Amino acid sequence: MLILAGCNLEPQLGELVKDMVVQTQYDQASINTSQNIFTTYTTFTIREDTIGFVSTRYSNTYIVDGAGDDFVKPVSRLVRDSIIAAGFTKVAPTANPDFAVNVTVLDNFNFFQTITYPAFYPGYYGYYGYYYPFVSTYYSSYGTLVIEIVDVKNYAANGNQYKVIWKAYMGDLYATIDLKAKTMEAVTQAFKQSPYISKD
Amino acid sequence: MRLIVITLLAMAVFPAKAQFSDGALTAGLNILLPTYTEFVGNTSTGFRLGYSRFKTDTFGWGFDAAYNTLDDYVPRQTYEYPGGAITTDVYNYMYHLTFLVNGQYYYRATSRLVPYASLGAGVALTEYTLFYNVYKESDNVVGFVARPEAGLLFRFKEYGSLGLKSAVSFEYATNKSEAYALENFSGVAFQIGIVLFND
Repeated sequence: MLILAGCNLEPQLGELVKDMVVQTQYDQASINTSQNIFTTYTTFTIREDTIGFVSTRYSNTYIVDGAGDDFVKPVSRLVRDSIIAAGFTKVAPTANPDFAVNVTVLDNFNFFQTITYPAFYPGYYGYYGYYYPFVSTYYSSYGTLVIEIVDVKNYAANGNQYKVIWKAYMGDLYATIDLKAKTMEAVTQAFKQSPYISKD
Repeated sequence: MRLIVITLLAMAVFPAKAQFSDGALTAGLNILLPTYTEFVGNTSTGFRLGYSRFKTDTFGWGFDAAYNTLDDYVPRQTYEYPGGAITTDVYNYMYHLTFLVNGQYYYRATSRLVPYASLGAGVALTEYTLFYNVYKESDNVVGFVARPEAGLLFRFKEYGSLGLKSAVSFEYATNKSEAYALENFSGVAFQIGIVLFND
């Protein structure tokens, strides 16, 4: 009993996964206190009712294939509608959009999470608060929904490259208690914590 | 640290045998209340094992090991950082293991009751861990720990081998975490346990 009293305890998985982690990153050269590139945009394009899938281990695509009506369509449409609500107009890929939106599920894909620093940081557009330090994290063996906004308008100015100006990571898709509802919440949160995605 | 060395030297100079016992093995619960609550604020019940050697009626020495898991929950919120933001709730866990040697002073000890004060010093091995969703990250830190303590050893029967221990101590460990911007840990510990005396 004495040994059990202090053994290596961990939080319950059910408590841990009740909400998804939502991380967003923006290109600081494009979005800063002196400019916001989104105010220069008007149109965007997004693939309708489709979510990409990238896996490093197998070709299991059940999230994007098997749950099309329950996951792919509502999620991709929520992304589209969130951007429309921010003041942008959806156009066809061939209509010279200002930016493109990619929605992808990463499976078992390692990527480096942002290193942050312990400090009070004046957030963009009035987001303030004590910033909790998150050190390096490698996502591995997990399912992560990724949304990317790619600058198409300035392709030539960026050296004939499509520059990613905003990314959102949401996970874990596999451990969540309600894939559709929690993903929808996460997508909503991603845009909520990125108020600079606005035409105005 | 200097006080401990002086105490140990004093014990070597006065090697008279104690009247109440030669030594005692202790095992019990270690209830740790953090007073530095930046990372964890909840009280933890862990365990502690120790041994005391009674060199004289008034002085002795000992060593012990203690282990506690402290935790806390930070509700879901959004954290800003340069170039982005993250929204999550976080479970903070602190796995804290200490090994100390100590010098002990016994005050009016009888054959059945041994009030004492001690000062211990040693090493603290601490793992600070963040759990958020299925993700986890940790920072391991090794530091110095000091622990002044006051307590009471109680023997059920004169010359019997079984007894009880209760003690209160203050713990200060230089186990700051640069990764999580945490300062040195401190806390108050209450210990209650059983004692096996050996004569």
